[in-house]
Amino acid sequence: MLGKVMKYDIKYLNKLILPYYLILFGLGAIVRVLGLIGKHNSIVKITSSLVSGIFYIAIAMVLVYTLVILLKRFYDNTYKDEGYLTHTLPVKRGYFLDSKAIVSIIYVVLGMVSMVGSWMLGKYSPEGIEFVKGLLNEVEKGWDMKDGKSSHMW
Amino acid sequence: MEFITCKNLYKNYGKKQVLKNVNLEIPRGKIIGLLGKNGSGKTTLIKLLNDLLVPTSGEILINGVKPGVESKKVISYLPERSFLDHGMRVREIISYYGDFYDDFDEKKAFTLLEKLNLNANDKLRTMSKGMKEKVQLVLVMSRKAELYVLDEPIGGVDPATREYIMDTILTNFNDGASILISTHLISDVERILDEVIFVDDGMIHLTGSADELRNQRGKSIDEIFREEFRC
Repeated sequence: MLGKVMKYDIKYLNKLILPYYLILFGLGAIVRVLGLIGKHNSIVKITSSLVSGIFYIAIAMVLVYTLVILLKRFYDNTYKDEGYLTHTLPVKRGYFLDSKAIVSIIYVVLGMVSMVGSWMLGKYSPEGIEFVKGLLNEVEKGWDMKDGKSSHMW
Repeated sequence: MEFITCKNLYKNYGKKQVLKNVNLEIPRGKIIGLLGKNGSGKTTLIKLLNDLLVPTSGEILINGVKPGVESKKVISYLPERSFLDHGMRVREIISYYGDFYDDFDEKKAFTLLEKLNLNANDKLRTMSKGMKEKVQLVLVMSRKAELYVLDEPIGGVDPATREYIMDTILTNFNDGASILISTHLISDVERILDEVIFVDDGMIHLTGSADELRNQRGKSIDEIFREEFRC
């Protein structure tokens, strides 16, 4: 029965969440193409900047959107009128929560994969990776220094 | 053994007592009217039978066991509210019912939809309130349940459709099953009732055979109700 509950949770979420992830990859592809053809054309450059802006906002909103839809599903399905059906199905009560928890983890992971995947599609470059690596190194150094201070204090 | 037994049942919402010492038996193979004014406790009793609420005290036994997964397998419940996901198509909802209820007859559901001029490919969101109510009724009556619990099934529809809905209920319930109909529109359901339960202020006011009550008092159930609950 848990499988059946999950099946309908996934069906519902696919309708609302997957299009967002697909749009994200679509934007990534457009940003990449505009980046390739717009090196010497100012109009294409401006368009590329605009689309990039939208792309960054869309990436930043992925997890927020995913969480909002997951919460809406949980609330509608459990506490609103749909709950009359949900709670009168011949299914153990715990399965509804189990399903929502498992499905939430799946979609949050998918959201993260979409963020990284679409960013790589649209903006990946060896220099970019080096920049991110450098940034991470700086964070690591800062962390080590903090740890050093802490151990000295103790 | 009676199909449902309620013993010394109480239900409170905070300090408000909604059901008070309800003792009730619901037999098999009968059409029973749960009749009472608005706010008399009918829906609360129905929610308790369907495991949507837990009694404050007392006991409910359905087929000898407390409400739960087993009772939900044999009770087909039509709530007073629109309880379906409006983003789904009728066809998808039928599959949903088929997946969860072993006693659901998909073929019968499609036949009933056709009879009621409803399109299985329509999304619920595009349907009128009356059409949605008909879809819900089709789903509930397409189960081969042991008890059909119908909470105000004709509350929101016009008189002509009421007649149609009552006929759909009467011609489609499982042989040997019982129907518990909650309503305050007594004249519309009176003709089909075998037994009546009058609820008032959270208590069982009167129970009995509809025919016996009519013969004893020389009045219709509707008239008896008006007499008993005159404001």
